[in-house]
Amino acid sequence: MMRTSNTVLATLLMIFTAALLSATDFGLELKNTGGIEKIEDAEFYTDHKATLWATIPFNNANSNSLAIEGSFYASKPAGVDEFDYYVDVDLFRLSLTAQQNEKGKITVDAGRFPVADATGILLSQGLDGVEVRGIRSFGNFSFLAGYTGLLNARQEKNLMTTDDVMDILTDDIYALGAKRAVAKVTFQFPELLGGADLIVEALGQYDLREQLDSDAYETVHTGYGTIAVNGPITTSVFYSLSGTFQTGVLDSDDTYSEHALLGVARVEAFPVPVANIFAEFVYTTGENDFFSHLLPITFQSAGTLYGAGYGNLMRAKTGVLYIPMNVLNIDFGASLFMYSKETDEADGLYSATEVNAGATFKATSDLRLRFDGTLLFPKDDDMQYQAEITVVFNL
Amino acid sequence: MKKTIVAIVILALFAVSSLAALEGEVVTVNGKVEYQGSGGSWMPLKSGDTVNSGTMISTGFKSNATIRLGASILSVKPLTRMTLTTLSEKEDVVDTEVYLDVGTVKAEVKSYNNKRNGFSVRSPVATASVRGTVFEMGDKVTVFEGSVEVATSFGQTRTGNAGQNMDVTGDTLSNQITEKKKEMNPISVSSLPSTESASPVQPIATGPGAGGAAVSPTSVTITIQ
Repeated sequence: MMRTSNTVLATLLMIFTAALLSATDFGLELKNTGGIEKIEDAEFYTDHKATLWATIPFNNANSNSLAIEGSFYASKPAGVDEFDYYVDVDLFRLSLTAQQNEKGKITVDAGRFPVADATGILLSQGLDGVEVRGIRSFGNFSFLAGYTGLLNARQEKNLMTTDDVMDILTDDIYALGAKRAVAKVTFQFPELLGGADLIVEALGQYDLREQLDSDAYETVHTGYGTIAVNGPITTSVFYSLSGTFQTGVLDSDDTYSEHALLGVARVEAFPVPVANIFAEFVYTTGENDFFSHLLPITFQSAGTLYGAGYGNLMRAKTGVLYIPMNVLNIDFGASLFMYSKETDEADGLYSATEVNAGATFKATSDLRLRFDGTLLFPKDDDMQYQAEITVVFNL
Repeated sequence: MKKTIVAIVILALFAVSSLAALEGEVVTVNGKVEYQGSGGSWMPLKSGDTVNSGTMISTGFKSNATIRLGASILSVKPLTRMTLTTLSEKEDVVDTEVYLDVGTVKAEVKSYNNKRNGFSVRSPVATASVRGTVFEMGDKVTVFEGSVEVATSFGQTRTGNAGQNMDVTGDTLSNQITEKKKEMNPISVSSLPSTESASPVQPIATGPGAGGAAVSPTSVTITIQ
């Protein structure tokens, strides 16, 4: 009797596993980047990334599913002789539809997944946590709560304090990230102001290093409030405007207030169906009696070779994307970097100009190539350049 | 006296006729176009045939039909199955409703007898009600003339103007800039699941050609201004 029960159980388990595997989509992506970069001397660099991924639907509508990505990296940055190896779980996202009726829909993502704020400047990284998204007649909303301390510090750039930078300086194959709790609330009201969408967002992070790390050097807690509008100017020209106020406290050898402003204005045009042109201006405050530098949760450099972040910055940027054929995209861009406030190190507001050109080629459905070229003209240094090729192969 | 009586009779007849159900007329037929008769059998549809409320029409591969419904023109595209659920003329309104099982129809809606035109196209995922507008409806609404207000089944609305497409297969309707970017269909270097975004809010500061949110099919209601 016991043997029969075990056989039935094993059979059911096999059927369930087979059904799950038959619905599972999975693959391997190989991404190889190589290039030459000249900042002081010309140096070669290379990055290799192998990513295994799978998506497992739990129902026919694919409204409940699990998506997983795991990567192995081998990286040799410019100016370094040896390869650096590390691994990461890039994605572990359990997606569930919690409620769906005539009034709206509630979906929940839990696990590790990419997140971004409304500007794309303050938060743009993976996060371990939960995001609840809702759709109602008035618009869309989302609540996000997460923790950055289990992320791989080499991959997710939570660089807000000296301690965060120290986290990366390790030979460990997995470097635990900055210990921060992150929360975000976003409301989007479609076409609330005429044809314009209104987005209201509150974002914050609390540094848990004091609680979790006894030898913490400094901690910083920040909050950001953003209001953004975007809408059409004509049927093919669109605008986006956003304003963000940052407040916070940096507790180091002394206690400092971290107030800052971020403004983004962007105009985007589609003159023909195969071309897209944009112009964008980003402003962040510099140091004065009240304001300090913008301190994003995710560090991103303001340019490709221009390595400084978004603090004390005025950036005018323009670009074009042209798609002459389905298998080829060509893009050009130019950025002018200025300080919003003069610094002791730099004379005048002008900092640098950067020019980018790129092309993406889809050789087959599984093979894509990307060519990038960048020139940087710093005000007080020689010209810098970077040329790289990326090959992405899907299996 | 006779003239007065004749005039009254004509007016009465006109009034009665204005309350009667309308018939649609098949203007053109190309390829295999059939309608379902009362017995449930499928019969070929020909130019000049009339269609009434309840008529189900099916078009085959490379086949299409044009039907005049009052003053409005309905073009039935290939591989479409639809039912003319309502076609009636009331005192101050002409009601036309088409149920689209599958496929694509294009509606050119015009006023009939100077009456308000309540023209709607419903499908399993969308319903469109129009007046003085030319639009095509399938997986997306394409507006040729006028403006179209699209409302999801959750009541969220967006307006599409002439020359714009509105994707009606999503839970939430993308704004026009996201739609434009999706239409450009730029090559994404990576196709990993993590590159797909489910958020309707797209970051402002992105490069050109950044793709829109991936959306899953659900019910959408469309009303046309």
